[in-house]
Amino acid sequence: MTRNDLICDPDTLSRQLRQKAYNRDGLPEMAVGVSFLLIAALMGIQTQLQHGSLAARAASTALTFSILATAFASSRLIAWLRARFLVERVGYVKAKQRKDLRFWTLRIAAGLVSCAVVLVMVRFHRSIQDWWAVLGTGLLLGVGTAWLGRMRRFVLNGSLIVLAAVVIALQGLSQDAGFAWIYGVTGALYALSGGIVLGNLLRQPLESGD
Amino acid sequence: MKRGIIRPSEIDRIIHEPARLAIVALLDSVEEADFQYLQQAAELTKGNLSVHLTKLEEAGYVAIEKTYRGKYPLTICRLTELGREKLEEYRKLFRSIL
Repeated sequence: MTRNDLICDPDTLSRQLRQKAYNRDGLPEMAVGVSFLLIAALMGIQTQLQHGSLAARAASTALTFSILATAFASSRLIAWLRARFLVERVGYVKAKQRKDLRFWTLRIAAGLVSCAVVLVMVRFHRSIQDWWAVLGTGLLLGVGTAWLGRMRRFVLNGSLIVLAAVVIALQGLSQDAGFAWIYGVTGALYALSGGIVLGNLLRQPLESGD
Repeated sequence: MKRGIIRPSEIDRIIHEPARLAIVALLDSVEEADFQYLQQAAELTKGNLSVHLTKLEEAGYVAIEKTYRGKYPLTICRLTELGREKLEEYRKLFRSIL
C-alpha cells in the first residue's frame, strides 16, 4: 500500500494546514504575548494598590477594557499587517464568511463557558491556597498552549510555562503577585517565540513571482 | 457502494492525490487564496504546486485568475462549484469507511 492509497479526512487535513499557515509569521503569538503581558502589568500594579481604593478600581476597569480591546483588535491588526507588509512572504488569503448556525452556536457556547470559568475563578480563588491557584493556572496555560498550538515551539513554550509555574508556586508569593508573574512569563514566552518566527521569516530572501 | 468497502474506481484520482487533496481542502475552507499562501500552507515547491494547480484547473475543480495587488502580482485560486461537489463526494466516501 502506498501513501496514495490512504484516504485522509479533508476537513482534518485542511484544519491542520490552515493552523500551521496561520502561525507562519509569529504575529498571532506576539498578539497573545502582548495580551498576557498587559494582564500581568495591570495585575502587578494592582498588587501595589490598596484593595478597594479608587486607583485599584480604575486599574481593574482598565484591565477589563484592555483585554477586551486587545481581543477585538488583534485579529484585525494582524490581517492589516499581513496585507500591508507581509503579503509577498506569507501570501494572500480571504477567509470564508461563516454563516452556519453550528459555527456561531459553538462560538457563543465557548464564550459563555469561558465567562463562567472566569466568574467561578474570581468567586472562589481566595478559598484556594495561593500556591495551588498559581500552579493550577500555570498548568492550564501550559497544557492549553501545547494542545492548541500543536507545533513543536508551542509544546516547548507550554513546558516552559509549566516549569515556571512550579518555580513561582514554590516562592510562597501572594495569589495576585503569583498570577502577575505567571501571566508575565507566559506573555514573554509567546512574544519571544513569535518575534523569533517573524525575524526568521523576514530574514528569508524573497522569491521571484509565481 | 457497501459501507467499508471501496473499489479503486470509486475514488476520484484527481482529488485523492495527497498534494491535490491538500490544495482542494484548503481552498474549500477559504473564499480564495493566492499561489504563495497555498505553497506555504500545503508545504509544496513552486513547480509542484504549479503542476497540481494546472491539473485541477484542467479538471474544472479550481478557477485561477492572475491579478495585481498594488505592484504585487497575485495568482488567485478558488474552488469551483464542481470542485466543491467532488470534494463533498470524497468526504462522503471517507465517512463511509469509518
